[in-house]
Amino acid sequence: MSTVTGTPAAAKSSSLTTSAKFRTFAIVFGVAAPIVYTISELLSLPLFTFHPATYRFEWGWAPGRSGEGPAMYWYGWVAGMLIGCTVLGTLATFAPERFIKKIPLALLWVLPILAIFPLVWALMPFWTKG
Amino acid sequence: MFEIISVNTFWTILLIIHGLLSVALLGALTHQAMAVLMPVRQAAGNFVDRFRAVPAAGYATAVCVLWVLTFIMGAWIYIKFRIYIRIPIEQAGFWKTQGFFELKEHFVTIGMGLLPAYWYFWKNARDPQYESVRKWLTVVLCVIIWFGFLVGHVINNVRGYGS
Repeated sequence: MSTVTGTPAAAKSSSLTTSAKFRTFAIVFGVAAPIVYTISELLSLPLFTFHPATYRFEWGWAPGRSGEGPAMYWYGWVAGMLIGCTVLGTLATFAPERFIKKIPLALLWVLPILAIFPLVWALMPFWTKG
Repeated sequence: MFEIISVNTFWTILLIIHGLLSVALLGALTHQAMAVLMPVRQAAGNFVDRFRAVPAAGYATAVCVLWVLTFIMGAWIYIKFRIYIRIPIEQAGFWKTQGFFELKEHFVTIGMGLLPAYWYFWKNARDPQYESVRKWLTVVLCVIIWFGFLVGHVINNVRGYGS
């Protein structure tokens, strides 16, 4: 019984680990994530704005409403990053393998480190107040 | 539900779950990072040797699941945080503390974007062409989770959900 139920999951995992398409998707998703997220944050481009006091959603960036508490953009940045990177990763699976192999794998860990600088800079009001 | 427990207790329980998940994630990633930075060449001896002598590849799926679960719990309690914790923190003038919290949310989100590649490279741990990227991805994720954990801890000290 356990063998029967365990086989499909194991096969699925195994197929993902050996899949060239998943490799492409994962690499492009990972390279794009810090870029898409940082640009969204710097340019104030959330997918939506959430007003936590009233549970109101608005598409894109919206200011806090008078008497309704603060507006939150982080959920919109996260959703934008996840959707954007999924689209880019999926599109990349249709690209010729030789193009994908030209992407330096080091970008996967160098870009998150480089993203520190603009993200810290964008938070300058927090560092200079008080 | 709030007839059984108070609102503050409810959010505090969620925060504790978020914290416990992050501790598990912290442990798994620290084991892995130690294993890739200082691989054991011989049978484990002292505590440090044993700490880094773990079968690191076996942690990959657990790390991804724990990261996503911790992230979801953090995103949930963030709703309450934004109104009942961040505003008093700003009113008290703890701007740098809040700034570090903003950085934490940025880094853990970017870290989540790295998970598919991280998982793939660990599932192909015997492929030498991925050795370097696997090592540094693991170290970056480990640094992110330590940063997030410490900042979250300090924020909770400044003003917790039960305040």
